[in-house]
This record gives sequence, structure tokens and C-alpha cells, in this order.
Amino acid sequence: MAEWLAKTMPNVVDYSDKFLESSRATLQMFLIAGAFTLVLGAFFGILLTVTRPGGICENRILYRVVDLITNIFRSIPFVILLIFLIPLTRALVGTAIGVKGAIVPLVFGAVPFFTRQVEVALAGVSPGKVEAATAMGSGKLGIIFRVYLHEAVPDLIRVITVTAISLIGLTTMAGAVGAGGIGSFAINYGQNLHHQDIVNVCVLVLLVFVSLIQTLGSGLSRRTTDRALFRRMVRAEEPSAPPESPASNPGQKS
Amino acid sequence: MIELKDLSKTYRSPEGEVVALEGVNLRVEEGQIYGIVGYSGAGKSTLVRCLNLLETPDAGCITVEGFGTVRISQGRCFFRPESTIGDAGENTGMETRLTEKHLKALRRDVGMIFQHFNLLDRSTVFENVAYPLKYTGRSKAQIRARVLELLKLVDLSEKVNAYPSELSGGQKQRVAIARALANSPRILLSDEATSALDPEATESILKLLQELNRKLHLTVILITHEMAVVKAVCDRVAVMEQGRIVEEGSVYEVFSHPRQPITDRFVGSTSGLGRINALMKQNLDFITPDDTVIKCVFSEESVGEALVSDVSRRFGVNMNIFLGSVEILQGKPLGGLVLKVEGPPEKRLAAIEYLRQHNVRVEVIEHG
Repeated sequence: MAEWLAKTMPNVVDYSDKFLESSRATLQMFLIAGAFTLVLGAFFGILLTVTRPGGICENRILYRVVDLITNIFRSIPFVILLIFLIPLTRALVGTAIGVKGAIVPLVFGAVPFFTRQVEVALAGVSPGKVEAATAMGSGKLGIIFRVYLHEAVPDLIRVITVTAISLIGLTTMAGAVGAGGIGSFAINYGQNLHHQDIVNVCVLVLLVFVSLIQTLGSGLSRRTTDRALFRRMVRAEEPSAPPESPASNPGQKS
Repeated sequence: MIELKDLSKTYRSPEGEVVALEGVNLRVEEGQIYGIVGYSGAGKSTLVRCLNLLETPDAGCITVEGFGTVRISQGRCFFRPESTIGDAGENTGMETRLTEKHLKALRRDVGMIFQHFNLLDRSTVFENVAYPLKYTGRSKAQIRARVLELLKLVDLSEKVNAYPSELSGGQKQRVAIARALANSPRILLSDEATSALDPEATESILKLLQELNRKLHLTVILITHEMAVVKAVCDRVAVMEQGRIVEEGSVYEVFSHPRQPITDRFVGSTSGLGRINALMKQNLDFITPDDTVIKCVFSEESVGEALVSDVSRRFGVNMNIFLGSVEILQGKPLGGLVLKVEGPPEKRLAAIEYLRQHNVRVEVIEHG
């Protein structure tokens, strides 16, 4: 095995600690920036949904402001955003390079994208469901969590998948300007030193990673459409009743 | 009891204004099934949404017995609890701004069902019905007991763990009804609840509403564009056109003596006699200048009499029956005939006059 590796990808083996370190850095950037993106993007996506004209907390000014900021950041190409944000990044985390320095531009790059995606996912929840919940006396928080977020789960999983994959792309781009990770490994050790096998392995690793995310996302999304991931069963009869439970065949239509 | 006074609502958009409600007055007594009919765009959906303030009217008063009065002025809502309303209905108490808390209380008192059910697709039947019960201070066991009780009420106990996608339309509406009744409201608003259902499911849902009305003394306000629905279950009916209530009365009254042209069209749409209008359009050539075609509606007082042969003998005219029907509305018979009257003009007029004197509503469809 080691022999075969040394033969087919000698440079990868030579720089194996660099390679592992880069992979770890990429994963770190992905997870930390991803966590921030998830929370902030969901927050702004919900904010846009509820403040939009006709929304449950209609607020035209707030909606326009968030909408505008989202559009502005969406329209700046990421490579330019990276250098544009360097002063802010320095001010916030003290450095503009390495994993730490990459988080800020990554979050700025991914949050507007994810915000729009969340907005679209929540727009897929029929207004009738929201109206029904309102008519039942459900409060605004109840509607956000128990109707919007709950009903949009399959779409949210889908957009999280898309965002995660695009975030991986962003981390490699950040690598080009000093963030480290797989991106910079492929450029500095693959491209610049003419080690094609290093580039190939980087592509392969990213391919596997993206495929895993996509498969997981698609599967989860499908399994949560028109149902919860796990059906919570309630027995229709008191426990003392005879064991023939009518709930045992819930899929049956009549 | 629920009462609306001078309710008005106008939708404003850059394209212009649309008057949805214009000075609507309505009073629904407790325990009634009250129908509101109208074509789409007549304002009936807006009206029903104003009842639980899903839509805020521009102006007007909404009084719900057991809750209080909401007065709306220039789109701002004020609330006065019931206990401070004087005997004559005059306002004696302190009026406050309507708060979110008042709204929630009102909405727990007024359940609502919809044309497209609006169930949560990712929740089981149990979870859907439990939705309005959660966060109301009930324990898990209490919620479970209440949900099972409600499902029994709508005859859907065996579907407790099903998802909406596993149910038929009628079953989905039953779940929606159970959910709407969870907090024991005294009023149920039904917004075209049977319009998306097949005839069989429609009938079973209407039966259920009637049953609930009797069992729970539930007041039902039913919005529909189908007169057949009104005919089947309602006690009283209001007809809406262009944001106004143009006619109101007991179902029997309205069906036997429609006063507005639009009401006539609605009534005609469900009665067999409505078909005469289509027939007349075909230019039937068996109507000669000596004939008059009339539509007669016999109400309670006249349906039992042998008027046709009586008139025929008395005035020497021939009565040729084109169409006939008898229906039972609210337990009372309502009959209708389309007749061709043959004879000299003065005899025909006298015959029609005679029928009118005997509580028959006569409408001359065509003079030959």
C-alpha cells in the first residue's frame, strides 16, 4: 500500500504532514465559518421573511435595510471581498491570515448567500399554514419555530447543503490569499512546484467531501418531506386496552 | 352571539383602491349555523377574517359574547371587556388599546377552518390537533387525553399517527376541525371548507358540522359560494355582493322569497327550476302568442293546495307543467313549478293574480 502510494503520488507522500495540516485547516474553516453562517444566515433569513410586506411582523424599513445589505454583499465577488475586508478582519480578530483571519471574510461571503436561500425556503411555506396558526392564537415566536422552521425543514436541509458546498469553494479561494488549507496547498505545493499529483489528490479529497455532503443532504431532505424524520407514535387507546393497535398501520388509506 | 356593526375595509395599492367591505352589519345568534354566500370577490373571505381579526377592518365594531367588543377606528383597534357593556348595549366601561393578549384570547374563542385545510404536513394528526393546546399550561397527559377526545369527536381515532399526506381530503378537513375545536371555542368560522372536497366528503363534513352544532351548541359561520351548502345546513343566510350584505334572512325565507336578483340567481343555481332559464334560451317554438310561461314558488302556506287544477277550472285556462320540484328546507316544504298558461290574455292575467293572492310567488318568464 505504502509502496503504491509512493509510486503514484510521490509528492503527496513527501508532503503528507503539510497535506494533513491543510486538510485540517480547511475543515476548521469550514466548520467554524459554517456554524456562524448557519446561525446568522438563519437569523437574517427569518428576519426578511417576517418583516417583508404582508409578513407576521411587517416592518418595511428593517426589511429594506437587511435586503439592501444582503444584495450588496452578494454582488461583491469573493476574491475582492477577501481583500476588501482585511482591515475589518484585523480589527476584529487581530490578523488577516491563517484560519483565524479567514473566518471573517468567509462569514461575510456565505451569510448573504445563505440568508437568501433561507428566505426562499421559508417562502415555500404556504401562507395558509401561517394564517391557520395565527387563527389558533399562536404567537409570533410560535409561528416562526412551529410553522415556518418546522414546515420548511426539507427545503432548509437542501439550502444548507448548497451553502455548505459553496462554502467549501470559498475556503479554497481564501487559501489563495493566505488562509492556508487545501486551496493554498494545491496552489503552493501543486501548481507552483509542478506536482500534478498533489493537485489531483486535492481535487479528489474535495470531490469526496462534497459528494458526502450532497448525499447526506439529499437523503435527509427526502426523508423529511411531508413527515418528520422519526414518526412519534401515540397510542390511540389507553394502555389497558387490547393490544390490537390501530396505529400499527398508519400508512393505510381509506 | 356575535355582532358586526358598520364594518368597512378598503384595500389600497398603487393600482388603486378595492372596497372589500362597506358598512356591513351582521348578527349571528348563539347556536346558529349562519351562511354567508357570494361570488368570489364579494368580500365574504375578508368579512370572516375580520371576525377573528386576521384582517383588521378600517372601521367598525365587533362584539363577541363572552369576550367583549373590539372597536376599530382608522385601522386602530380598541378593546372593551364584556362586563362593562351596559344593558342597552351602550359603552360604559374603559376602553383600552387591543393587545396581543386580547387577540390570542379572542382567537381561542373563535375556531377557524379553511378551504385548503392548512395542516402542518410534517406533523402527524396527533401533533396537528395538539398544536393549539401546547403552551397553554396543560400537561402532556392532559393534551393527549384532549387530542384523543377530539379525534373521537370527528371520528378519526384510527388515524392518530398518520401524516396529512396519508389522508383523504375529507379526513384532512376532519383533522382541521378537531384542531379548530381544541380550545373549546364557541364559534367556528368555516371559510369555503367544503369547496375543495368531492360531493361525498362535502356531505360528511357538513353533517359533522351540523352534529357539532347540536352536540356542543357551537355557533358556525359558514362562508361559501355554493348555495347547496347553505341549503343543506344553514339556519340563516346572508348574501353578499360588492362588499355589502344585500339580503339576509332565514334560509327558508330567502329561498322562497328572494328579493335581490343576485339571490334569485343563487337560489336558482340549486333548485331544479333554475334549469328553465337554460331551456328558455333555446327558443322553444311551442310557445305561441297565447301562452305565458310562469315560474311559481309555493311556500309553506300554499304548497299543500291543489292550486293548479283550481286555477285551471276557475279561469278556463290550460296549465302545462314544464318543470316541478319540491324540497324540504329546515323541515318545511318548498315547492316550485314552471307552467305554461294557455288562454286569452285577460284570463291568463287573472289566473296569475289569483295565484299571487294565494301566497304563490309568481314570476313571468315569457309572454308569448
